[in-house]
Amino acid sequence: MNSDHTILVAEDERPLLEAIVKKLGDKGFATVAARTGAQVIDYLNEIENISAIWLDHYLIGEANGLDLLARIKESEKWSSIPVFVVSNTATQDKVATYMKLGINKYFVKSENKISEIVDEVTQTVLGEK
Amino acid sequence: MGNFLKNITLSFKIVAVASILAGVFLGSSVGYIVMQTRGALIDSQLSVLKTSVESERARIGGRIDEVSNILLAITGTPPIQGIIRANKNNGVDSFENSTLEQWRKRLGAIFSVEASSVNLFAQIRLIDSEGNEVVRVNYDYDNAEIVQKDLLQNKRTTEYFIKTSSLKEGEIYVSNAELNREGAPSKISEPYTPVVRYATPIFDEETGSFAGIIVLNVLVDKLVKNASVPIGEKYIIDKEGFFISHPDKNKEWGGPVNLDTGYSMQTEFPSFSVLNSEVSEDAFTKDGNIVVYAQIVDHASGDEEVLWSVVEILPLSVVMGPINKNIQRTALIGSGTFVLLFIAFLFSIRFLLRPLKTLVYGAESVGSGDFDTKIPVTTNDEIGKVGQAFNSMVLQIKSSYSILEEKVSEKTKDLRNNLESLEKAKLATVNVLEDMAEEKKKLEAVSDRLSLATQAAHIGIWDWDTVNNVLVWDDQMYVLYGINKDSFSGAYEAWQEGVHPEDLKASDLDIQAALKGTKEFNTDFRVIWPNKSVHEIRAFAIVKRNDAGEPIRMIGVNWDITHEKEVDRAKSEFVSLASHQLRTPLSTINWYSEMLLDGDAGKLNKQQTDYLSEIYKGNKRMVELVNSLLNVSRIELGTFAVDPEEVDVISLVQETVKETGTKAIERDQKISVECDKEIPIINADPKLLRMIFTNFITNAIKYTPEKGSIKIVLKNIPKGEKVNEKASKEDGFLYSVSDTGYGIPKSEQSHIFEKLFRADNIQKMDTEGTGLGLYIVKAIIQKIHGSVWFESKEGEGTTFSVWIPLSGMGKAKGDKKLT
Repeated sequence: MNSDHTILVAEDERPLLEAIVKKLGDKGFATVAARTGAQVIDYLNEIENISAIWLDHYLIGEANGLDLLARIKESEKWSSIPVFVVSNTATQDKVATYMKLGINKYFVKSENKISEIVDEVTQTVLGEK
Repeated sequence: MGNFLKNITLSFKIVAVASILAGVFLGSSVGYIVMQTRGALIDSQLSVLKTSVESERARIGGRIDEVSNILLAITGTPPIQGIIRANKNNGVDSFENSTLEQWRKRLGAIFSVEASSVNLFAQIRLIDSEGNEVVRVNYDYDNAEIVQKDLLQNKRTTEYFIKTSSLKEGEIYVSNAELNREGAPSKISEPYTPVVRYATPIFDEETGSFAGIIVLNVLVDKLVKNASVPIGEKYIIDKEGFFISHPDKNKEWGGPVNLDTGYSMQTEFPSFSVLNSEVSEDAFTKDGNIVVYAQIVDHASGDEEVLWSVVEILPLSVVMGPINKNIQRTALIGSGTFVLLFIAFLFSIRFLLRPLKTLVYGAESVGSGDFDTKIPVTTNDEIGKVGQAFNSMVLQIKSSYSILEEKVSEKTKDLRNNLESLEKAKLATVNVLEDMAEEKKKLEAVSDRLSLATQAAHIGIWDWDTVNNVLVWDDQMYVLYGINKDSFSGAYEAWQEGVHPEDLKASDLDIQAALKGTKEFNTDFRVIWPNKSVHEIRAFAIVKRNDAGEPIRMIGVNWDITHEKEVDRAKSEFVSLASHQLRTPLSTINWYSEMLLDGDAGKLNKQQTDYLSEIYKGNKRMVELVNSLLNVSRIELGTFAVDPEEVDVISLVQETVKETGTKAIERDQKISVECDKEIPIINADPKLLRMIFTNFITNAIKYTPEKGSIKIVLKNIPKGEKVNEKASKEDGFLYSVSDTGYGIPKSEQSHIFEKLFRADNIQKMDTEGTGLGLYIVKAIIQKIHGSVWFESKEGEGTTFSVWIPLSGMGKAKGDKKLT
């Protein structure tokens, strides 16, 4: 069952967050939604087996996606969790930094269909579309 | 002085020089002789003086020794011991059966005999161990008198008694020369009777105890007088330097009135006081005197003490007197002879130089223009020959002068003619100069205006002599680079020092390209001021070349665009941020439309699906517009990156055709592709190439009516082959897209690459478009050093072309990529 897998979604825009949760839920994933960096860390601490992280660059609060990713990759426990960055911020430097830190893929929201991104996440987590 | 030397005659000069030489020779010879003679005379006088002094010393020394011998002899006479024995035995000498009085008489007799024999003693006495005079004999004027017993004195307190009583047998006390004193208190006896006391102790033969002394008062006058006649002034001085003997009697004994402050060697001859200290020389010359001295040593006392010194002083003037007279005489005779010789020599020289004078007069006469001058030649010597040569030379000068006069006359005529021509030319030149001055004034006015304009606009002007690498700046340039004139060396390298290191290579390449003529110099770069602040500079220049086309000079301008750039940047940042913010709601619309269309919220009917599709498409166009605006802002910021990698251009073109082809199919358009298979893999940014390729195709599809046709051509262009009517400067490829579309009205063709421009004929139609695509393409092409152009005819169609060099794209740093 996909519900055995929990996807942590970090997105500050409420409508987008709801759309993502809906689409991932339709695929049978359990989701936890965070709108701040602190919430992301809390969920990572509380939930044992996060299967993947859907990460936006901009979050509510001071910490952004890069800060969080750096922290995740520093941790032995979390560093193997697949991370998908989905953001409208696509400056060359930032994309390069995200890739260097070891994310699975970088999506530009306005350029990609939500279903395409969900399919990519599903394939990574389950090994199938 | 200079004039005097110039004006004196040759004869006088010769005589003067000869006289000076003769004078110097004579003077030095006489001086030498005088010096030699003087030395010899002094040596000779010294020798004589030494002999005199030594003989005096020996004489006096001998007499002193004689006195010692007499004294010692007296001690061995029988009355001495007889008196000792009688004194011990109440005036009776039982040993010799005699009385004290008898012994006194006998001793008085001996004393008298001794005094008379040497005629040196003033007194002889025997003093007992208590200091009482036992016997005294006074000797005066060849008369010896034994003093009566009641006149005898006690001498215990005298220095000679005290000193002698401590001596051993055979030892002698010798006093200094002293004036005799008599009476109590004692007074110096008059007339002054200087004496030296010789005393020796006597001892009791029986007991060996001290029994008294025998004293001899030796008359100094007698001791030192009777000397040979001295050559100079002779002095005898005692140990303290007082005169025992002096040519002036009043000065002997220091002048007896006051021995402490009287005349002595120190007061009379302060510079010879050396005589009283240890000296190594016994003869010397000093202060115009020859001084010789000898010391008289007292052998009798056993101490070898210096008793007196004999000094003889001879003034050098006395020695040199005769020779000085001779010198004066010689000088007088020499001077007379010299004057006579001078006069005789002067007349001789004048006589000898007379022909030379004639020659001088002749030369002066010729010099003043009289070429008929002839000087008389009376001798056949050297001067006579010079005279002959002079006469011959005058004849030749006369002949040359006549020829010269003729030539000068001719040349003067020519010169006059030339002067007239020159006068005319001068007039013409003055006219030209006046015109030039007027032009110069105009030029200066223009220059002033230009200078004011550049100053007002803060534009710096520079001028670089590329051959000699001399770079000249106007004042504004120093302001732009934040440096002062002193710190700028005026070479190309000095300019480079101010350029930001990151911009150095690019700006240098731009300059090199301008010098080669491959590119116009129009570039921006940053400069760093000494205070580390960074300023943006825009530069423009033209290159001047020589006839061979080689660059010789580059003249250009710089101005500060820091503020301009900051404004641009702020503007572009605003657009960039605004575009980003726009994307978020667009994403929301996108995703929710997509979800509805996918049936995530339940199945939609056809009408709902159609409406929603329109929303979805409209939103997609909005995303594209936002993306285009973002690209424009990045282009205008100059911050878009070029990230080259190996690209197969043919495959890329095919991919873009495939991606955009569905639209053409929808519009029933025919797309054909013509690819040159020789195009190699190149190093370029695939994203940028894709943007160019896609833009041309989508434009063609959009602006071509249904059923139209579109032709895509990809062609290899080797170096030198014509492209866009120009020979290609390097290997490259051509990409063109031709359509049978609406075309671009001629009047609007010049605006086609402008931002947000859309042609009138297109705007009337229902076509999608932002007016930004071609603007972006042109910016990319410029960045990668390619070229873009088009041909279009309204109603017939358009062909857009790009030429891209095979060398590909150089990497360019930038904050953002074009999307």
